[in-house]
This record gives sequence, structure tokens and C-alpha cells, in this order.
Amino acid sequence: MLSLAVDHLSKIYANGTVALKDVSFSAQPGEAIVLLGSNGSGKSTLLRCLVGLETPSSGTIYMGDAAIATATPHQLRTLRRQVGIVFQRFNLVSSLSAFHNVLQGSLGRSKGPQYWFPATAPQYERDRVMQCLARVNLAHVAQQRVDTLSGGQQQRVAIARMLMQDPSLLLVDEPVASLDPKSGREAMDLLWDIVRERQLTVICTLHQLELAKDYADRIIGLREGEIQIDAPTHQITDHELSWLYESSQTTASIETPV
Amino acid sequence: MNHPRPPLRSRPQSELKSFPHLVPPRWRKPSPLIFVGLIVGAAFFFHGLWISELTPLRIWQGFSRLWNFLDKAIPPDPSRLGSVIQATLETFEMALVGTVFGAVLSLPLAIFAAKNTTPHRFIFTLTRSFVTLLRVIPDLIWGLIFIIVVGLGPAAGIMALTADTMGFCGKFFAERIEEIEPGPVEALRAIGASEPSIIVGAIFPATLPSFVASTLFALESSVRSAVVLGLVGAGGIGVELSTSMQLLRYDEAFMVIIVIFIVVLVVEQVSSFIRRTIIGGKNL
Repeated sequence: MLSLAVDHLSKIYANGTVALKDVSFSAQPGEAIVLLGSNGSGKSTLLRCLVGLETPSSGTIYMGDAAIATATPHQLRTLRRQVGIVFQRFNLVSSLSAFHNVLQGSLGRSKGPQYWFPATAPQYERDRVMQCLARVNLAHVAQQRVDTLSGGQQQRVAIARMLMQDPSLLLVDEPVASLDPKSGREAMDLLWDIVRERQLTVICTLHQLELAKDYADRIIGLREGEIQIDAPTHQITDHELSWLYESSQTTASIETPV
Repeated sequence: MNHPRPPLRSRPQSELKSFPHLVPPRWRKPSPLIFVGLIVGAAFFFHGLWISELTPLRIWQGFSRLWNFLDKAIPPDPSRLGSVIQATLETFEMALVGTVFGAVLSLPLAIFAAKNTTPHRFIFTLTRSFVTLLRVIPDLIWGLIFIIVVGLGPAAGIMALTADTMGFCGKFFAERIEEIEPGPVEALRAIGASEPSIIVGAIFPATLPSFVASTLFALESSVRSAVVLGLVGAGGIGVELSTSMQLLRYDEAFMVIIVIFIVVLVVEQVSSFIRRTIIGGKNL
């Protein structure tokens, strides 16, 4: 459990695109927040800022008691170790085995080249890799190259890699967007089981309103880089949620006659 | 099938009549730059032809001299076959050692010379220039330089081939590294992995097949270079060939040429077979 606070965060890209405008919120330890918003609403930029893959134009992100912007490269690595990410496109190293990919989850905390290869990794880490793979029901494909696995299986390998990393804060970027509805549900169930059993703080972007309502404790709705909705899930109406996904022209034409 | 094509409407026709400039011209004037470039290129070409005095008469006379050579060369003289094969093996081993050294040294060089992995822009420019320097100096000149440094013999040849391979592999490895998908690298970075472990964990696995293929290609080229390097005294079969030629012992020289031909052919066939297997099959 790691607390997270975002304070007046803005991101303007070099080409002038405003991706985030004055975004502020904080996550309680153990809280499951779902970020909603259409393409280009700034969800992904926000997640990338949270882990330091993008530098915000202004504003601050606090994790625990450290501010990301002022962190030294060494501190940033220490922070990243505690923040797990599950990506939309899985981002596994496709020519390596499932086992090797999960082992790479340990690269943040481990020092030294013996962690680079399954052959040289210490026995207790090898055991942990198998436990993580067993947790996502993939122990039987440990030796297979990940590009021979199905999309759902690859997402589960990515979840096992996150387990191996053992983070306290979890960021999830559209975990089901590359999966069919059934494997999407399975991936979400598995992810949320793990989140609840480890009491992780989780921030997850989603496109599907149904999924968001089923899994979130709290929903934050982004539109054109600004927070429009921020409330516990049961207080939000369907109408408010669908408004997030209407294009601004459509909304304008609906609102004008009223 | 049930819907026959409608006849062509007349609309495009009328459009053409009102806009005759839509029809592309048969000829377009070349731009002044292209025109000057063509003139300069043609000037070099014809001047080159002129100074070489490559006339049909000379080519015709050449045939009779070639006949003279073949007449003396056939049958090839196998009396020194043992030492010829030994020297050819030395040539192949020079190429192998030089290529392996060059490829291994190219790995760190390529990391510094790739935009996405270089620690600093300055180091990027420096290593890129170094790789270019290695490549623009021909292998024969590297051979002459290293003969001065370490003396006559295969050591100079190996060093020349190492420099040559680094010029080739350094460039290709770096370009391959620049092409990798950013996703897995970002994933490891987000886990908190150190830069060396990102390179070994995400970059090398994606680039290894291409690295091996480039290295085998470099080996093929090194075997050919190693033969020529022998001519200037940098070890291997080349010196045998030049001695036989200078002593006008064409039958001996022909034997040497046959052995070289076989070795180069075998290396190329084996290497291209391995390359096809690596690129075609998914297994490393």
C-alpha cells in the first residue's frame, strides 16, 4: 500500500497538444480507482506521468512522501520498483519464454547480472517465478516463448510479471482492450482477486462502462484533459458516464436547445 | 454477374475538355540540378573509358593472353597442395577470429551509437563518427597500417578484419537497435530495471537474430577480404598466390585459385543456410 497524490498536474506536448489540464486527486491506500474517458482524453498520459515515463509540464506527483519530479534517477528507480504496471499491449519480450519474462519482474529489486538469465538466477527466485505463474494458472507454459501464447495468456504472463515485481501501487492501462470480452472478464477477475488479496492501491484505465461499474471503488472521468467526474462508483449515474464519451460537437448540439 | 457494368459515362470526357492541363505531359524538363548532375556523371564515365583505353582490339588481344594463361595453368599442379590447404585454412581462421572480435566489440559500440540507447548525444556523435571512419577506410589499407603496427603475418590480417567488421556490424547493429519496439523496454524501465539489465533483458533478445545474420554476412565478406589481405603480407593464402603468379608458375597459381574458390563457396553456402534458418524459424 502506497499513497498517491496528484497535484495540479498539466502536460502540454511539444507540438502544442494539451493532454492534461490541472488534474488533482489523491488515492487512499487499498483503493481501486478506474479512470474513464474517450481516446485522447488524457488517461494514458496521466498513467505515463505517474510512473515517470513522461515528464509533466507543471504540477507534482507524490508517491508515499516523495515527489516524482524532484526525484534523482536512483530515487526514481526505487519508486518504480514499488509501482507495477499492466499494459494494454502486454509489452512482454516476445522472443523469451514465459518463465524468463516473469523473472524480469525481479530486475527492479535485484542487483547484478545473475538475474539476467533464468540459468543463473538464484533458486528461491526461480521458485517464486513458478509460484507467480501458478497463481495465474500458466505454470504449464513456463518454457514456451510468449509469442506462441494467446492474447489472454500473454496478459496473464504480464500479470505474473507484476506479481514477481511485488508492487504496492498498481497502474493498469486498458487491460482488456486487446482481448475478447470473455478473456477480458477473466483477466479483470484475476487482476482484481490479486489486488484485493494484496490490498494494492490500483489505478486502472478502462473504456467499458460496464466493467468500470463492476470493478471500481471510485471512478474518475476525464474529458479533454480535465477531471469531470470524481466520485464513489455507486453515486454515479449512467447518464453522467456516457456523457464522457460524447464528442464535444454532439454535446453542444444537445445542450444548445435546452 | 447479374449486374452488367454500366457504360462509361461521358462526364470524365467533358471534364478533360474543360481542363486540358490534367493530361500529364510526355516530357518534363529536368531541373537544372539534375541536368548538371547528369552532365558531370557522363563526363566522368567517358573520361574513365578514354583513359583505360578499353578498346575492342585490346579485349580481342586479351583473349589470346588468357588462352596462354589457361594453357599453362591446366592441368593445375597439386604438388604443393598440402601447404596450400594449410594456408587457406589460416585464411579462413583469420577471417573467423577477426569477425568474432569485430562482432563482439560492435555490441558496446552499437549501444552507444543507437539513438535510443546512447547515454549522451555527444557519445552518440562520437561513436557514429568512429564507426564511419572504420568503414570508409578500405580493409587493404587497414592491413597495411596493422603490418606497420604488429609486423607481417596473420596478426595484422586479424586486426584489419576486426576493424572492417566493426565498421559494418557497428552500423547495422545500431540501426537494428533503433528499430526495436519501445513497449518491452518501457515495461522493464517501469519495473525499475537498470540500463544494463534493460539492454540484456529486452533489447538483445529482440535484436539477436538480426545480429547473428549480420555477423555471418560479415564473415562471408571477411573470408574474401582475407584472401586479398594475404597479397600485402597480412597472412594466409594470398602470399602463396602472389608468389606463384610472379614466378609465372600458373599451374600452381591455378591450384591455389581452385582451393580459394571451394573455401569461399562453402563458407557462403553454410552461412546463408544458417541465416535462412535463423530468419525463417522462430527458434534461436
